[in-house]
Amino acid sequence: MVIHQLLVPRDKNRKSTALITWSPMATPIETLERRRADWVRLDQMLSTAPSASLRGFRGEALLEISRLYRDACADLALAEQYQLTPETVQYLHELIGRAHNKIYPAQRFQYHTWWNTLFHIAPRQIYQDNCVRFCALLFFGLFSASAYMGYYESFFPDFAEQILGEQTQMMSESFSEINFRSDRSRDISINLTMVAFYIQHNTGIGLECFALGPLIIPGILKTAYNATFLGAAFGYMARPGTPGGESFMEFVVAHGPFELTAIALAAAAGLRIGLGWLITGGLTRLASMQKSAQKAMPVIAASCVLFFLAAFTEGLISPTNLPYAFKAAWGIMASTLLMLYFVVLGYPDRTVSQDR
Amino acid sequence: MTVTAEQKIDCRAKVVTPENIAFDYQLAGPFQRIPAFLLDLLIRYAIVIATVIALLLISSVLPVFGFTLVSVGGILLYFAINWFYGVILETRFNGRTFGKMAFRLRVISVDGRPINAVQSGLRNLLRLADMWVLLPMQVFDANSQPAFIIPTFCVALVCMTLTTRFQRIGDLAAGTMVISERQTSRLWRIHPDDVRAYGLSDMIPANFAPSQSLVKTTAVYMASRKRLSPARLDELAGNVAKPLIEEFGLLPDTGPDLLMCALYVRIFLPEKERQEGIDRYRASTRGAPIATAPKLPPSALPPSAQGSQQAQPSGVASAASPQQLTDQATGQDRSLGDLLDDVPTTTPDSAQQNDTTTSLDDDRAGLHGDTSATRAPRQE
Repeated sequence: MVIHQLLVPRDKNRKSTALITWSPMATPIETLERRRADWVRLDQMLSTAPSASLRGFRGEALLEISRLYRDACADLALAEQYQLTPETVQYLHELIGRAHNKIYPAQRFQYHTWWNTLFHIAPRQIYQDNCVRFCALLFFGLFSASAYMGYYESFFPDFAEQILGEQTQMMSESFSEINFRSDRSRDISINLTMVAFYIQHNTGIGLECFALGPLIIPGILKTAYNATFLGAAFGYMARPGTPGGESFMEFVVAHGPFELTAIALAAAAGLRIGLGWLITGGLTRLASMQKSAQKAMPVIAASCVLFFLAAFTEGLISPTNLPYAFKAAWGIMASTLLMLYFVVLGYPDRTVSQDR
Repeated sequence: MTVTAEQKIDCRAKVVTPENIAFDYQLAGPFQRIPAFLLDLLIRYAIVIATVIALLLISSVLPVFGFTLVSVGGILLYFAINWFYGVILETRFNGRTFGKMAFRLRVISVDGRPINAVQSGLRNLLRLADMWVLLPMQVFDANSQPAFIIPTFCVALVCMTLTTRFQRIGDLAAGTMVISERQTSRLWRIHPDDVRAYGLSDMIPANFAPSQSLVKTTAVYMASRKRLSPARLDELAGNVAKPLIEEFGLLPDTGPDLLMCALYVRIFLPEKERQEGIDRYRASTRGAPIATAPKLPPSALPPSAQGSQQAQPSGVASAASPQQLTDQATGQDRSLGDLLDDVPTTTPDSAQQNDTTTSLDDDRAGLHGDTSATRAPRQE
């Protein structure tokens, strides 16, 4: 009786039929028969529930499903004692599992925590994370070197052509068609399609660099390849004689800082997870990997925001016929903001670190 | 939460609920997850194609936007669905995508709690790592572009085989696992088709208290009984039944399978049903000479056919062989001497004892089997 009171709170409005109220003399089949109706009812309520959580239930139904769930839990707890057949116990496990998932649903996106993640946790993590340093060096180093080699045709003949392949043709053709200073109405449709393509392409590259990071070597190779490819493209298009070169520069100047930084950050977040698997710091590999994933999440979140900003710029500023000076100023502002974000917000807070 | 060896073999993971009840989840392995993944893939492409067709229709009706609407909409939707389909659906629908809903799978945290948006994001964005190694199109066509786009999921498969909860890299990083919510068990009850089981159940000593493990063994045995051949059943049941036959003082050649059925009747069935079964058994044996009994595999007797004996070909497979029935019957016959001066009849069926000798013996043996049977070996 004591157990009964502990497990199932007394509720005057209902007549409990939970297992524990039955005499221990009942055979397992008798018990099953008595409880079957409740279990089937719970099963039925779960199957016909209108939504993934309990939201669809109101009033009486909500009370009923909670009662049925608690009773089923109590039944399972005493299953051993009441010698229920393993098949029945298995049924209860499955039933309670389903009910549990219905009653305790997934946490939605917690918007109020995003501010803290983006403006406190992420910049500090980025500032002190060696993976970010390594990936930034790798990405921007290779990017610069490749741009340099692509630009100086005389020193490195065919470098850009070998890296880019047929892309050289396609790029110079597509950018030759754009004239930001011409009548806007004709160009806008081509521009928008191209913009959509570049947004999905470049963001996709960033997410790929992140996703391959846990495998470490593929992640590094992917990042290195993309840095080289993008660098060669920049270098090639910056050559004095390339058709469409000016349009290209005008197109990328505004969103370039956001986009390239976002790719480097995404790669760093992926690599952080991979290194957690490799360098455990005394934890089990799994625990270390999960800890690193927790650390990497703010970084990838910041990267996603940068991708979003890049896409925003790419859609609303880059393809328009706004003056070049405005686009260049936007690019400079973006770079400055990024610097402030990383350094000012990211600079370690001594009071916090001492507290820890 | 730890995974014990037993749970590992059964592919199960234990979870403790806030109600402080521990229950098991059935883990979903790669071959349960592949169909769900393929269905999701189909749905993703279907959504993109349907949207593009809808946009084409709109742009043909409203020529203002031209083809731009279609291309921009299509590209952005493809991108969004490609990367964020799983993230959004799993967060919105409590760890399930449409494919997982169809195949009754769900993603939950390894500690049993529901997943949150961060976990969902991690495991879905990291899927690309699990899809490695990527093969080039040249595997199929030597002249095609050297684009590495065919996923092999080798990383995911190797990772799943090495982890206790079938986790791929995305799951490991996010601390999630995929469970199956398929309701495989039914609430059923078994009625032994062999009426002799009811008779034999009465020969089990009244003071016999089965251990917890014997109760479980009996239930599992009865659940898997239909899948096994009679010979295999006897072999399996023999391990448990032989010591019990000795303990109960039954004849050594009592069918082990029959004894398991009797144990089941004794432990699991309500007293009323057991009594009914015993009555049925008596009715089925009444008036039949012992000699004809072997030809009657009682498993062929439908419960409704109380007392009506139908001759069966001796080749019919039954739970217990005719030989066993003879042995059982003769065993009861031999204990007749004891029976007659034994316990007074206290049951409502006592009046039936004045029937023909053979069935009377049988009847009494069924009624007071515990005492008579225990004495049988001493008589030998």
